[in-house]
Amino acid sequence: MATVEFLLHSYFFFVIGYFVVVNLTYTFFLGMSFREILYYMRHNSFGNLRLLVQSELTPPVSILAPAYNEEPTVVESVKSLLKLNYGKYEVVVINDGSKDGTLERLITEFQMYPSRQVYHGLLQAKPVRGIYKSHKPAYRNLVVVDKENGGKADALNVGMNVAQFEYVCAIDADSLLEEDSLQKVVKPFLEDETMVAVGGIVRIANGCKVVNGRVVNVGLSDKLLPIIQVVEYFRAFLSGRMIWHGVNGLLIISGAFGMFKRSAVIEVGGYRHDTVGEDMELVVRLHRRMREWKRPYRIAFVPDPVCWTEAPETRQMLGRQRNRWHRGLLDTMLLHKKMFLNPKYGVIGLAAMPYFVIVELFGPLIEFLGYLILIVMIAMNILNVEMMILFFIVALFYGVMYSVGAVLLEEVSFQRYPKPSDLALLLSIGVIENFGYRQMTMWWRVKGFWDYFRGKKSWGTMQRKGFAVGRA
Amino acid sequence: MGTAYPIEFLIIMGFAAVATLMVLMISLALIIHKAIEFQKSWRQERLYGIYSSAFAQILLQELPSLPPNAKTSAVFIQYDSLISPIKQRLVAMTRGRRKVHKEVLRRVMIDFAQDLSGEPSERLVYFFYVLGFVEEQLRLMKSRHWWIRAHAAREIGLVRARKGIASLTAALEDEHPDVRNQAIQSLIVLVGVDALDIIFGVSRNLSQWTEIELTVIIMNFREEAVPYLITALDSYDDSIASFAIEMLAEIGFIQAVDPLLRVLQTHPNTSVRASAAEALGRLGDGRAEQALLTFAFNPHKGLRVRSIEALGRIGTPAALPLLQKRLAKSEGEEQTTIARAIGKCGHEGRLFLEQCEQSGDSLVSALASQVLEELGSETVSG
Amino acid sequence: MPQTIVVAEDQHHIRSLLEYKLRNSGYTVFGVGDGAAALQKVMEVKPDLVLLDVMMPLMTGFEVLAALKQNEETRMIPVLLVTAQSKEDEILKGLDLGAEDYITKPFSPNELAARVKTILLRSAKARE
Repeated sequence: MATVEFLLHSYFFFVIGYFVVVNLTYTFFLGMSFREILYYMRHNSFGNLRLLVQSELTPPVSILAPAYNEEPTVVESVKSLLKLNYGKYEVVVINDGSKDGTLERLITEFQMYPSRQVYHGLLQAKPVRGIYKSHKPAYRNLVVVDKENGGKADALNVGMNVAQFEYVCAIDADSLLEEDSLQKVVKPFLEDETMVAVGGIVRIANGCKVVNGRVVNVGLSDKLLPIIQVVEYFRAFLSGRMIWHGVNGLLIISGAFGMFKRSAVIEVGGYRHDTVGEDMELVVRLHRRMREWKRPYRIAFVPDPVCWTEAPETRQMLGRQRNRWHRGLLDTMLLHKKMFLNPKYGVIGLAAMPYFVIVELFGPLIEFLGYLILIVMIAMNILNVEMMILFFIVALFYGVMYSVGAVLLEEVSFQRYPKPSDLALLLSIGVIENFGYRQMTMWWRVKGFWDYFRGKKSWGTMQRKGFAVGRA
Repeated sequence: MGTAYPIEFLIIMGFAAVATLMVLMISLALIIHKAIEFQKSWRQERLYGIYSSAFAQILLQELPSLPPNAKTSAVFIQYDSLISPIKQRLVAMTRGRRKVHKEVLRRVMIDFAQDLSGEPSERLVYFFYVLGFVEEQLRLMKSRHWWIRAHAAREIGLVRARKGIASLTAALEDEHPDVRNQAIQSLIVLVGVDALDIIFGVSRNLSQWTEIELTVIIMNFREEAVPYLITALDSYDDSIASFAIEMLAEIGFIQAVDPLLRVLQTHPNTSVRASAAEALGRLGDGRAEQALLTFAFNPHKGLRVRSIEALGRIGTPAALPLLQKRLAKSEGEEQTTIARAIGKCGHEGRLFLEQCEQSGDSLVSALASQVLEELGSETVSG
Repeated sequence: MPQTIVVAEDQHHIRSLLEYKLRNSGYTVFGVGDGAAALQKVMEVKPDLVLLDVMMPLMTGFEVLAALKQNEETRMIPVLLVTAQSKEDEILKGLDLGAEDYITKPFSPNELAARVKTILLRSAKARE
């Protein structure tokens, strides 16, 4: 009995210790983010992005938009992609073997004909059935590729093969791009020729007014789940990624919007087909190979909102998304476990990967165990109730602090949420999310672990579908 | 709870205290930030109105004409009389207020400087000196912080302070790229096209971004910039030589063919030579053909592909036999380039591609087919 | 009776400068800060000349110009456009829409006054 009690107490102390470390890290991140964002904003006040529309030297860009069963929205999405504010660019839509009329809609709307362009299979992917181009001069920069179904990663690999230009921008079918998004993510490539990938901030479109595939009026959804996710995204993008960008340790570039150097992606072998976290995996692999080949390189993040995405509104959908993200994270970490704590991989092996493993990967598990033990301790009547309440209050305060800090960052930098009432709501989310939402996401992520190891046994039969929502 | 507090309790209490403090501080910062911003913009808006009306008068007020033998300083004495009321008012203010007023005044004057030419703009330049704005910016050029230096470099251009040319030239070698870029912009404003001489002479390792900023400037000057670009071909810095090559092609200056040929044949860096080949193709002058033909066999792939591409751009049938021979032997990007070049070599080239489409190995025929389609769409859209 | 001019310019400093200059040259000047207000003012006072900035909030100079040229009552009022640095297509568009003349920033106030004078003389002659 005494040993059990001792073990329980030790775990309790472990949780406190873990909690202290994680929160100190967060606080440190928040502080550093202010610095990084300040630098970016100062830097951005010089250098006129409009030059990229005027100059003859502006590098052309290929946008890769995979589409799977997008018949109702595909025409509108493509039209808005064709109207971005940038110099020369092409839009490559990859029809990933849709079962509905996605391809037919595109062909009729844009008056497309089967082109005789030669397909070079630099990256392995499912066979291509045809490449279509438009008769109309207005749509000359549109290319539609029809291929057999193979999932998002496969579709993007085909896109990489077809893309004409050196800078490729991979997006989700439902990403709503900002008009100036390309200018913002191209600039880092121009300033540093060793740049291989650049990501930007993704925002939640629920509750915003969307006209012709463009967010024209920023607002908040009237449902609670999307609003909580707005704050979640603030935290993730404004503080987390800014820090990793600062030390060239950025491991995630959102699948909803990311710009890559095509030659680098092809060199490392493109997207992996057999993982649910293909976007994160590619970035980790870029880091890995570049370091193995001892090449100077940089992967950057611009803290500028570039793209809006529809967040899941129901618990079921959100649960599936988080479950998938967690499996993706786990898979990526396992695939590259060689890098973990390996000094050969510098900041990635010694800092970024450990952070992701300890905080992001095991965080939910540790938290979950904490709740379990709490119940056991209550049952055994060995719990110090006052201590427990205090602990929860502190946890709450830290959660609030982190959220408030992120909202503040948003407020001083971009001020996209103009209404004070919206701001107040976002601030209060920092409190509300701790009752229910936090526990829910924890549970989904724990389940992600479970599903991953159970699913591993039946790898072959596991169907990988549904890439409608990308990683945040 | 017992009488003594256990250690974990103290730890948690400590955390609670820190967290509460942080939340309070952050929220407070948020509110104060909003409030200050609001108050500042409101106050500045009001002051801006007052100063812009006042300055409109100062800038336009008719001055008694001076006798023809008056000293040059006489006009400055007249200007002094115009500005002295504002100057005196500024001196009388408390330091904090003066700072706010000077800030707005500077904005008003810079806005006027952007939009005015002729005699009033000369008055403005003088006023910038008299009010100490120029000295201030020159001092800030020596700041530790790059953003302050970059800002000062921009301001010196905006206030047209020729006194700042020396420190701007020094700033071309600044450690931070934003400072260098601002210095380039301001030098162009102050010196005009001649500034290119300094810029190309001093700058090193242009980033693509800097090149884009420079393109816009150079395309404004067009032919006027050509002599400086030709000089820059001999720069020790390869990025500057490549950039000059690209700009000469962009301007389409046909006299640039000879210097470009020289670069193509003699430059030590192969990628600079490749840019020269590309530029010669864009200029489309037949004189380059012979040289390009020799480089179409060069072992360096970049130079070889650019030369072939250029031959296609010039588009003379004389290059055909060579290109035809190489088509089947090459692969990847090079093969596509060759096929495209053949397609552009007049009627005979097209005929050859049509033959390829019918026979030959499958990849060549597919490529031929692709190129014919591309050419077709080009003629449709003009 | 002095001739009247409506000056439409959203930037405060330039508006006050234009007002001052033209008043000193002996005209009656009405200054407005955006396109919609400009249209309203022109309808109200029927001036002898309109000075229009191209980049303005609410209605751009082009929109105001088009509206003026469509209206029978204001069609004959000459319009002088003020455009930002030598954007050729903008100038052509303005002249196409029926502007009398244009002036590009940066401009010399004296030159502007001279142009205003010639336009007014020309339109007075046309009316005779």
